Amino acid sequence: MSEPFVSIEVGEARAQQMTRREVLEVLAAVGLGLFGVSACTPARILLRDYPAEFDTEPLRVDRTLRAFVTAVVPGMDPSEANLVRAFYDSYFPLEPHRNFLAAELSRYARERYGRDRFDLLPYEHRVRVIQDGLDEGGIIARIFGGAVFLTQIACYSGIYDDEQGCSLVDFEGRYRVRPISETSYDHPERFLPTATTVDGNPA
Amino acid sequence: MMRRIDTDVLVIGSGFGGSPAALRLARAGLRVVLVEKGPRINPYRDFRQTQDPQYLLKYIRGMAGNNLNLTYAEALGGGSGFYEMVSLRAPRKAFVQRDQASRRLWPEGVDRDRLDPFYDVGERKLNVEQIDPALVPKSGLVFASMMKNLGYSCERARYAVRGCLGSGFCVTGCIYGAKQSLLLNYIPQAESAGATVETDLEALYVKPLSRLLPDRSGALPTTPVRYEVVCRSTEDGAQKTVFRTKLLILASGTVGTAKLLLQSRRFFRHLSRQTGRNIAFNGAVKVAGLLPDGFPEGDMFTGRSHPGMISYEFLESRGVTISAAKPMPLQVLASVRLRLDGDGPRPLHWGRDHVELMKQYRRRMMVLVAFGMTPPGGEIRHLHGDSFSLDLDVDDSLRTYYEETKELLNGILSRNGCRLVYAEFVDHEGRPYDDIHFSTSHQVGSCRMADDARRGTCNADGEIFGNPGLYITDGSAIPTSLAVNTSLTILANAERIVSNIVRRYCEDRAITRSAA
Repeated sequence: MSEPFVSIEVGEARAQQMTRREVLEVLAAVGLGLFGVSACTPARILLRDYPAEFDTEPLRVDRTLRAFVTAVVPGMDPSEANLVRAFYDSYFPLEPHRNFLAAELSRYARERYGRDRFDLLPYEHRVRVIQDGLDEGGIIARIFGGAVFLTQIACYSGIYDDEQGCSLVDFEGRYRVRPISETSYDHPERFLPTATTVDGNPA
Repeated sequence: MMRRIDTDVLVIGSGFGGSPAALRLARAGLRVVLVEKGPRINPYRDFRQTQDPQYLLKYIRGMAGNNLNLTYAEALGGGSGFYEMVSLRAPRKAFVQRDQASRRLWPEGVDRDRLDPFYDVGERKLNVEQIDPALVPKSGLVFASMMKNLGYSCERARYAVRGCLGSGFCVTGCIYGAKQSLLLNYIPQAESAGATVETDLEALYVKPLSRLLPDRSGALPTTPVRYEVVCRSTEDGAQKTVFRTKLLILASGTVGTAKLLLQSRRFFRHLSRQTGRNIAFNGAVKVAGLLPDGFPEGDMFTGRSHPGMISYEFLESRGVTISAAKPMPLQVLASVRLRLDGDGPRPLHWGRDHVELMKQYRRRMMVLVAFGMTPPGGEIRHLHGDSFSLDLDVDDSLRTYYEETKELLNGILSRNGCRLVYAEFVDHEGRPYDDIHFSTSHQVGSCRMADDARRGTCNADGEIFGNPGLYITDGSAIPTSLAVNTSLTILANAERIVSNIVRRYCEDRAITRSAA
């Protein structure tokens, strides 16, 4: 396997076939885990403690999350179909906390700028609000940090569109046949220093 | 529901350790069953060129621990479906590593000279060849020119591949069948030779039968059935299969084999206390920098996943090899926060500044990685049930290795005029680690070969001390870091061990399936 630059700390995907223990083990190992946070009672209470309208007004949640994503990865098209899909994807553990995150963004926006509508704040103010959540510590910081983490993975990697990838970083998604001249350079010998082996194997 | 299957040979694990065993022993005429925990894969149908985590996590696993994370695959063919196909022999220096008491870590009689004929076998089977200069990806050529600028040597690396298109998706599985994974050679050939392959089957524990009878004549027909393995279906946990076998070959990898033996310890009173310990991890150190103006562009996203070049310049003096790396977006974002060195910490790992840095990632960023002969210090412990822990004690010498190697790599970048990029490695929630943290897919040694049971789990023949007919052929038997990718050495060592098994059990008599 590739030596991870990182490892994608990974686990299993056959969630529907897995026991709860296995799912937790996977979440712990996968990189996208976050999610022991909801296991303890205080956390559970906190994560359900937000205004009811965030459960009843999905458009409000959606526009708040879109504003969040375009603050974390500015340059992403706010109307892009898959922009906030990761927050609605039950594969990722933030899905149950989506409404809570939107509510917290609104709360911090109100506290710092006197406006409920996080999505109407200018970029710099949204950055400040997100930073407030990251600085909060405890479960709030883990939710905000996990949301930043998931957003970056989803956007830059183009996880929902193999054809498109992420144009922001010139990642084209799946391979398109291209001539070798595009993957290497002419006259490669000019780049190569002295070799010390006959065949590439170390002595 | 319970199935019972009797066989001559049961192989647990289908990666570089297990597949050669299945092929060679099936060809020797034995009844062979190969069991794989992961799913069966058809490279042309199942592999995808994607960054979708759901796809990758069907096959790739992680074990996160204190100061060390291990990545491995659970799929038919093991890691071979997802590796970068780098296939290098371990340097001679790797085989003379010693422990703190100055004892050689490899067992007597196993060294590079002993393995070379089996490297030949593996290389032929996987079509391992040195990359043609015209196929070296741009990032590899840029790395080579950086080494050249400093007067350092650099080699074109070797790969298991036929007709590479340079699609850049080696690590998500080659959809063209160019990468020579075990799915294209050992495994189908083993099946053609009569081996039965069972996937989606997890070995729960191994039990010796009442008496561990020794071999009577050395031939398999007279060898008693000695081991029982209980497996369960990963698709339907209720379905159990019990195998009874004369020879049992453990090859589920450094993590899998250690876990299986530790879970079975109650049945093996004399199992070495070293089992689960001594995990060597190739001490990967990674740095990044932005290429200066005037340098040609690299390209993270085109050409094969490994950039084609490797330097042994510091192998003798520091025990490290150096190459460039081409992590795909998911690999980067899931593991590291990047920001330009010298900039403040917040909020540069996200937001506008981070986007500006990521825009340069594809063509202007150079990532260097060093693999080193770090001592075998990781340990998997069995906690309870099927719960395990993983620990690495980062002592002063390991800390010094890390810092000095990082300084060496950063020196290569900065002396070429690169602006250093600060890389802050993160855990599974995206939080930075507090301390040095190693991540690898090159883990070996958890059930290492040694000269006696006080120092390792199995002997130089791969046979577990005190347990005739019970062998280990995977990376868990390899006692040390190698400073290069481990796959070819695991394969060569498996071929060596299995050749001895064939000689021991099969060559004296013309064993046929019916006779057995």
